[in-house]
Amino acid sequence: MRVSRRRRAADNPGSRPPLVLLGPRGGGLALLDVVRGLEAGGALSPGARIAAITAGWRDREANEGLIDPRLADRVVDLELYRRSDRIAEADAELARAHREVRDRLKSLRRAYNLRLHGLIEAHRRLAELRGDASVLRAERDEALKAIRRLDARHLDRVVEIRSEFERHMTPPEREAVRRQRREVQTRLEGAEAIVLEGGHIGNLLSRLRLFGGRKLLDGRPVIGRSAGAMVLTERVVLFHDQPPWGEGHPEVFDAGLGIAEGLVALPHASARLALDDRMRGARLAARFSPASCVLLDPGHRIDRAGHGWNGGDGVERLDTAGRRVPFPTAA
Amino acid sequence: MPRSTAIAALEERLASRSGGADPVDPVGAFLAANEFPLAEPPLYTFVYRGQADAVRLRHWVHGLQTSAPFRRLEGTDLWCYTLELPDESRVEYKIEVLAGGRAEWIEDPLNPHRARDPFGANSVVQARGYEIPDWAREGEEARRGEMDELAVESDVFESARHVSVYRPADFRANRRYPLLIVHDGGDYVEYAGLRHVLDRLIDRFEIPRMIVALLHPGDRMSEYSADPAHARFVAEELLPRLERDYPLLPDPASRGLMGASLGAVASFHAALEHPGRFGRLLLQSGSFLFTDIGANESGPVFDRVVDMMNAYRAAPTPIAEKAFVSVGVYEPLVSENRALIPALRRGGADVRFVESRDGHNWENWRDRLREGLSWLFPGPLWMVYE
Repeated sequence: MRVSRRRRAADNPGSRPPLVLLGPRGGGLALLDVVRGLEAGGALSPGARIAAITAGWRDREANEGLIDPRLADRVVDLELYRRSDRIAEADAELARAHREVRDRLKSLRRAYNLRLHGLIEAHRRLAELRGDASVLRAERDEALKAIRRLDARHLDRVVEIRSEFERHMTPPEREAVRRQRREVQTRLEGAEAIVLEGGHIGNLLSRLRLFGGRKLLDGRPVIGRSAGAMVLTERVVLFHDQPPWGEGHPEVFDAGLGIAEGLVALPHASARLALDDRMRGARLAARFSPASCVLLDPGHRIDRAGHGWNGGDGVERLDTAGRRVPFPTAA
Repeated sequence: MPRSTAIAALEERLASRSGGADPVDPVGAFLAANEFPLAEPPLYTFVYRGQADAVRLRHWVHGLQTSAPFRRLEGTDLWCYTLELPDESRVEYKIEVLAGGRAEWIEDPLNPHRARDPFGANSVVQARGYEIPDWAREGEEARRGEMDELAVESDVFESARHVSVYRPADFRANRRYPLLIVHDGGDYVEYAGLRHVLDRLIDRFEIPRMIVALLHPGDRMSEYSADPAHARFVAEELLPRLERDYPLLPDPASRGLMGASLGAVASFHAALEHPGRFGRLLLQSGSFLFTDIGANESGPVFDRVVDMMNAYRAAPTPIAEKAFVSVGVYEPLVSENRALIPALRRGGADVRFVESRDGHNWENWRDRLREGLSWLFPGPLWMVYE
């Protein structure tokens, strides 16, 4: 019966399996509640097995105590983090190439941030400049466009560098990778849904890619929490306005898996963003418009509905004036 | 002299009852009804009750008289002294009681706040706006790192030196870690809660998991005062031993030195003597004495320090890529630390300089650890969304 439900979804391309994005843990919304809701709606069989991806927890991967303990006997962790370590041990050439590409991406990121900080500072100061309104408006618009161009170029370059690596090294064809992927597929058998937990976004995203990216998730309901929600979007944006070492500006990190369309997921928004600062909020929303910058705090949930989204209680997005407005915006 | 409204009210009450038969002890009632030092920001009144010939406030706030006389309220054994403190100040003090020809320095019996240091403990007054940082408070759980105790053989000192090494929770031998070497490491753990702070900041992803070597000095005043032998020990004996025993990242950006007071001098000196070895410096209230003219008059222990600082100020050289420097504005070393900043920058360092309304003490150094460590060694917080 469990397999037949999955087949039913796959047989009907018009009806995509449920996709649920959650804010960080807490806020009175447990994973069990979400699973029960999917069971009640018929998307999952009662008591269905669930595959978990907890690679974002790194060395704490597969720590059952961190997933909802009431689901412990139904959850099988795919252990992508531990498997990637095994691949690195078995395939030194791939591991070396991966380190090299990581170093290239680090250099690129440093250069991007250097330019980004300059452009954001210019945009900030232009907003404070007093003078002819029509002249300044055009200059501010142009400053924003420059940030958007830089974001877009950076994303292109990240994808390009990664694609070069994948073309050159062809990870899916390498024996160490194939062996681990086979084991993952075996573990996935019988699992009706996949939960992506949060944690370190870079580790999570790179492990997901190593194990097939969105293909790994195809055909099953997917629940993504926090970083697990971010990786499902089209574009991963890192952010923290006031980290302990000073001020920070949101930065484009990488392309996500592109399953969750039309939004930028911002978990821990209230803790990490200076939401009272309208100018910052406006700039953030405008940088990634028309995608919605969705604020995901503990307890928040949004569900894919056709080509749009249903927002749970209290879910908001930033509009291009920097205001918090309900998400999705009522028609 | 600032006047406390509450003390004035008490004095009025005392004056009005003189000769009367008020059964209530106004002083006792006053003490029972208030917390001390009595806070009426920006005024803080220190109070002592007892028989004495004189009572004084003893503190180490540079710029104020370090010995301030209390005033006895007429007809009582209550002594008080009112001090104006800017918001966010934190001041350690003792009360000196003079009686029968003897002077005794005591902790304030009416104030529960204490700060410990290698010499014992002081009472603490916390002005409006000061709070013990949440990451430094007891109570919040964090996964705990482990401590190894090493005996590091040293040809330089012709003996084995004791070094404690902090390994973070979830330490894995197949990972590589940044290294921080901490002067007076034992005191940092004991009086600034360093181990606890590391656990917390790592747990919050604000600093990376790191290996932290805690030094226990022998002859501290000699070894930490720009002693070439100590610098050699750190760079040529301790570092190779740690590299052998622990999986460390190899680049200077992943290696730091830290210390307070003379420990900051020792950190600075080791980096200066061995350029390119340590890319990160955390220097707190360093005794960076120098002379613009004339000779050192701070005692022979500072001769080498003054020579070093005079030479460095004349011709700064690159000693670290990043340096975090902090100092309390109430300590006498504030000018020396301020003067260090432009020299470090001329030497090519990216410097963050933080002043606090505090003194030359361990809790001041504790309170700056989050900002300093996370700036020198940013953790994965930016990448972590749990």
